[in-house]
Amino acid sequence: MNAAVRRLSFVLALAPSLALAQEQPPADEESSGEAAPTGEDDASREEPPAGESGEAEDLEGLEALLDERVVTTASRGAERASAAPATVFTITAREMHVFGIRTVDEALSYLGVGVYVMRARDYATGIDVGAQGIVQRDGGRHILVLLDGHVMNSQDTGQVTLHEGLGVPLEAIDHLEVMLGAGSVAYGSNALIAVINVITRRPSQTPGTVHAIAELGLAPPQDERGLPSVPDRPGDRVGLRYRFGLGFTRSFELLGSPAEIAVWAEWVEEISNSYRMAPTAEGDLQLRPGETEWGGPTVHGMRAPSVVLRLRVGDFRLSLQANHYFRNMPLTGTFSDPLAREERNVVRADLRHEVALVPQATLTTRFYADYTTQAERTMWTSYFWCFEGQIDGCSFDAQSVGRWAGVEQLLAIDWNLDAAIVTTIGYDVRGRDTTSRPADSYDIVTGDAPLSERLPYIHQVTVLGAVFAQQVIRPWEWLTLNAGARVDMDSLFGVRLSPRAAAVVTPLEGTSIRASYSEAFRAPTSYELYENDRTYRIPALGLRPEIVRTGELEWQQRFDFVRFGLRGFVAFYEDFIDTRAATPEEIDDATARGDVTAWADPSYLVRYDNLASLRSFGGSLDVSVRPLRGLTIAGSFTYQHTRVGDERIPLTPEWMGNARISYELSPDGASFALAAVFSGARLAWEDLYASDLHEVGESLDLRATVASPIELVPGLRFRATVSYSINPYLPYLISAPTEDAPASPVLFYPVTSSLFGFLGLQYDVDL
Amino acid sequence: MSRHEYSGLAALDAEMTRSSPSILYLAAGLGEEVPAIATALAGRSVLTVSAVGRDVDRGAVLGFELVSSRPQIAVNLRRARAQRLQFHAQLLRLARVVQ
Repeated sequence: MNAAVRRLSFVLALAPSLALAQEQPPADEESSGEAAPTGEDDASREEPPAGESGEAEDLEGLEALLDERVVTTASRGAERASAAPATVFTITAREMHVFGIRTVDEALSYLGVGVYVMRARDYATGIDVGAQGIVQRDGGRHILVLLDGHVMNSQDTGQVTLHEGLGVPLEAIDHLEVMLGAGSVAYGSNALIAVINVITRRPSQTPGTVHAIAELGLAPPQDERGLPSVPDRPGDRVGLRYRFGLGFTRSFELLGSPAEIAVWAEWVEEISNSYRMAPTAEGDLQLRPGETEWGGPTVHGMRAPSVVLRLRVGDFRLSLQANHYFRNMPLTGTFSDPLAREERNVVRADLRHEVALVPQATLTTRFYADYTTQAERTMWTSYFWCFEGQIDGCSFDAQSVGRWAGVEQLLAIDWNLDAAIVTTIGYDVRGRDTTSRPADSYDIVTGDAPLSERLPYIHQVTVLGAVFAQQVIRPWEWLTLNAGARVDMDSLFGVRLSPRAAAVVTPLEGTSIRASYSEAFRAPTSYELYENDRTYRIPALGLRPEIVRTGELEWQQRFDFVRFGLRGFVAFYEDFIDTRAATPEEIDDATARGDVTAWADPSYLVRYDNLASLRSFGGSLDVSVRPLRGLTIAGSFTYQHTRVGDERIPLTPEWMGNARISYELSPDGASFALAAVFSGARLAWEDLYASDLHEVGESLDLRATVASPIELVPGLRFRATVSYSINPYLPYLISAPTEDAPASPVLFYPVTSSLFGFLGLQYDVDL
Repeated sequence: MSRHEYSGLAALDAEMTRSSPSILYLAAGLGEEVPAIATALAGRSVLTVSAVGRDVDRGAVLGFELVSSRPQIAVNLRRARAQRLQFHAQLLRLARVVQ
């Protein structure tokens, strides 16, 4: 133990009794049989002392204080959410339980503020998460996802997912912290529109507990309109989704130091219900020999086992996470092809040590390492997707392996031990090794590789170094100033500075007003720089990072039982990376390098480039009302407007939100909850230069959940949920617009599970 | 308020007798010493407070912890009774109570 922090402080109270506790009668009275309260039950029987209304008011104030959320994501240190330099909302495990939430993307939809989830549960195309007027179907590259502060975005592709593929068992999650807006000042790349920090449970929260869960869900078949139906046609089937989880926590002593461990494992699998695509013969369809139409009934499968381990010994903390994710992709390439699939494997390790150098200064050191593999296979029959000789079509395989490791140190100095002047400085050094085969193409019949073509193989070793500093000054109780900057030096693109400045004013108890300016960036990934498909895409060396400049104004207000936040933002995005047609010169250069096959159709060759400048403005209102103990009525509404030049481009819906009501009989007792998610029309396809913008209509999702302990068996609980989507459609691009036909994409509207329900049992046993 | 570096139970006992404080704040880093300190304070009417919630399980009377991003009060009722302290029922409803 550090001798410098082995201190005791004695505080002499002048009042005859303390605010929170008072002296008991002398011991002889205590022994006379008047037992002091020994638990909540006893305490609840105790009548409040007469003439203590002032103390009752004190307790109301205390209750309000305990309702204040403490966050760590915005400043990389604990602070009240109302004093943070950015909008941060939290979603607790209890809220997820009460509202029947199964994954993080669902939590963001039903319980979040200002976050748009592009159709949770859309296995046809995966999901993406947007905010601040931006969402792109790019695998989540514009948000940064952390697991207890550990970056989860792939350092190879920049991608991250928030459904089952996230790989964190649901019961391991303590809460989510979501910071809206630019976050590169604290974390570097990818924190362009939001940072989502998944905070896992501390073992000490439930020491010595074994936890088991089994959940079973069913979904009826769906017809061509996305409506539930009875299984009365060939190809129809009821969908099944199950989830098993097991976890344990234990405290012990190791090498003379207090230690604790928590392990959480989960297996999620879905054998989907059948859903139907209205068959079509139009467009550039991938048809197998003998097929004349694309569509009909189909199903998919999904499998997602995961495990999280958290070990703390003294001042050291080790976190390990591993997961596997598999899903079929029946709507990509040839229709309902059982071989079309996506697969990922991830292992993450994080070793953290925290020490108080002196009472004023804490040094946190973190070593981290990740290993990921991902693979994707789809089947194509159009000639231009395949090589010469593959006359029946080809299977398209993309594979990559990424390894990265780094060290980060953070020194936080609270100069006067009163949080009035706090300085944080640090650095992060990361090495990355990525290997990919982005476009292997094999004959769909024989499985042979092309005889005369070189298939692209990419190996990159890159280095990232970053330094950052942040100064928080609270000159008066009512004013907090926060200024910081991070400089990233990355061999992928060069140097980028990400500054942030914020002022938070708290003129009255329960009121806070924040103004802030911040910049953030998203680095081009190895995948975007070097991806090469010799029939379709040429490398895009020299890409610059995407950047955003954001200004925000926020008002948070807390009354006795009402809390609301009103937030406005304006964001200017530059150098957004998108796909464009390759120029003849670029095609000539690529051909000379051997990056294009002679078989390729030049009119289909594309490359990434820094293309778009967008601007977006909008705001959110979120309200929470607790008129009675246990009853919560809450919701949020967001408006956002995005433009490219003078043209409106609703990448995210211009209006969206959620509403919910819950009643909890006791803090950990039975609960009843209703929730809704709604959104307006949005762009069907995010081509920023499409001359004809196709929009998908409004949507509404409803969910009802009941959960309760089962009194007959101590430790046993259940929850049951029914969910229904009024408009479950999501456009799916079958055929992209081309130069010859810029306004004629073929769009399909596949469906998600419009109706499903599940029942879960949870059993906790104290060891 | 006076601040002292912890050097052992004897010195603590002497200081408690000399100053008779109402509140004893246990700084972070004293976790391993908390059980012994709690035992030594039995019978003294003093509220032991720690910023570390786990210290309440070890014997501090009152502590603070973060649970799902919210601050939570933890109260060790057994130690409170041993130290002749009584909490209001309304406060206990807000707290994690250690028996």
